[in-house]
Amino acid sequence: MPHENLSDHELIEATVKGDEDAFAEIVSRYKNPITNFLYRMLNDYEEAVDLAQETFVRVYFAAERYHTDFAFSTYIYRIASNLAISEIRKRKRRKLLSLTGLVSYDGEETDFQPPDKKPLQDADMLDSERQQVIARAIASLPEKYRAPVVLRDVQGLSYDEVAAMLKLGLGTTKSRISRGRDLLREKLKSYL
Amino acid sequence: MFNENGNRNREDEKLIGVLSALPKVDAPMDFDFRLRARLARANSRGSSWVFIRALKFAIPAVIILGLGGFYLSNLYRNSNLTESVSQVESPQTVASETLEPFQTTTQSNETNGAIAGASPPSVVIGGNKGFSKRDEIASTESSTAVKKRTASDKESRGVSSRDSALSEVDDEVYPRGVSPKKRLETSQNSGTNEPLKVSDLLSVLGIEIETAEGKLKVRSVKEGSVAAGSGVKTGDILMAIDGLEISNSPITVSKFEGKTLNVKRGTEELEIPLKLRP
Repeated sequence: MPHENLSDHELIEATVKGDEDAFAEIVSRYKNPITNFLYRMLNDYEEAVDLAQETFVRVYFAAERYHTDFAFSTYIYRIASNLAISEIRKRKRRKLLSLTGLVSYDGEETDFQPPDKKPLQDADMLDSERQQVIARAIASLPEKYRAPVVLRDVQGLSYDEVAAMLKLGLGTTKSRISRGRDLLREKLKSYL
Repeated sequence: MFNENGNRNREDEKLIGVLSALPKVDAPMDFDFRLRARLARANSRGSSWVFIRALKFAIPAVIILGLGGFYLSNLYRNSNLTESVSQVESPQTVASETLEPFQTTTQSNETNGAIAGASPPSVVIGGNKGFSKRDEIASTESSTAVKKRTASDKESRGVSSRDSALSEVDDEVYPRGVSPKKRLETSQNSGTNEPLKVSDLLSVLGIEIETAEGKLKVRSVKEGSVAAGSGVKTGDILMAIDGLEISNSPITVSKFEGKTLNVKRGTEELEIPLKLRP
């Protein structure tokens, strides 16, 4: 039976039994969305790729412990978001130590600077610049708002899925997404 | 309020539109290859990782067990010492007067075993002091030890071992085994001073000596003794007690208070304070 027709659960079961092609199928299904998610969280492509690989390594070695009580996507996104949050915290510590960033009282990074509004001649460049601004704005969100907003609004996942991935209640998830959007709106008001 | 919510919803929609329109960033072409290499590396580290992880639990467990064992052995050792002291305290024979400082009686070997584990014997002497419990002990062994006793103690001389006489000193009350309340008779009243063998003196401290090249060398140090607790080691060359030179010749022990021991260890000369409680 071709692996493309198997569910995520079945692929993981096959991986546990030693089927490497099953694991390769899992990788092909999730490597892009996971990489994208991590890139939006960190705004750093190389780091995103590195953590995406780390995510799959952990999935591979913990395959035996994977339970089918929840969706595999929940499981893999949870691993990825934990890795991203750890990296964010590590960076914050480094930044505090280097005394280069501005840190507000609640730990929110406030180093997002809206670019000059002067229009660029090249539309593509303008668009690229806009995307970079948005990416930086997302990356400047506090970690507790960043993951819910990226999962919901960038990755397009449902509130329930986001809540399960982040191990939060539904109400907490919605309120964090709402707060995260408020902060983004403030940062991007000239672009909206 | 409706307008406020409506405006908010519209703004949310704009924002969501902007965010969802962001281009998707894909994994690089060599992602699979790099992942395989990473998995292979992780697999090869697998056994050592298991070992390292096991060590994380094993090392603290070993430390805890070691500390626990050390604590229990100390507890056991102290309880043995306590038992030995209580054995020694039960009077063997009678000695009912005070002694001239460290003019010990000759003592039998019977109580030597008790002494081995007894609390550090006091060998302090000097002045008009006496051992409060030495009164109760008599020596059975004839020796060259000298003590000054009252008339009633003459009968019990030579009954019990010198070591037990010394060790029966109540260290807690008289740390140096000397009772200020007791008055000692002078040697004129109770007898003559006989020189004490250095080996006998040192055995009270827990030191067995041998003569090597004309010098006194520590052959062994009794576990739990004053010497052991004070840091005397096998192989030390004994030079002096309380700053007074000693040799293998008999000495008059009234000179010594047993506070310090001068030894030569290798090329070092050390002055070791003798601790009554190891």
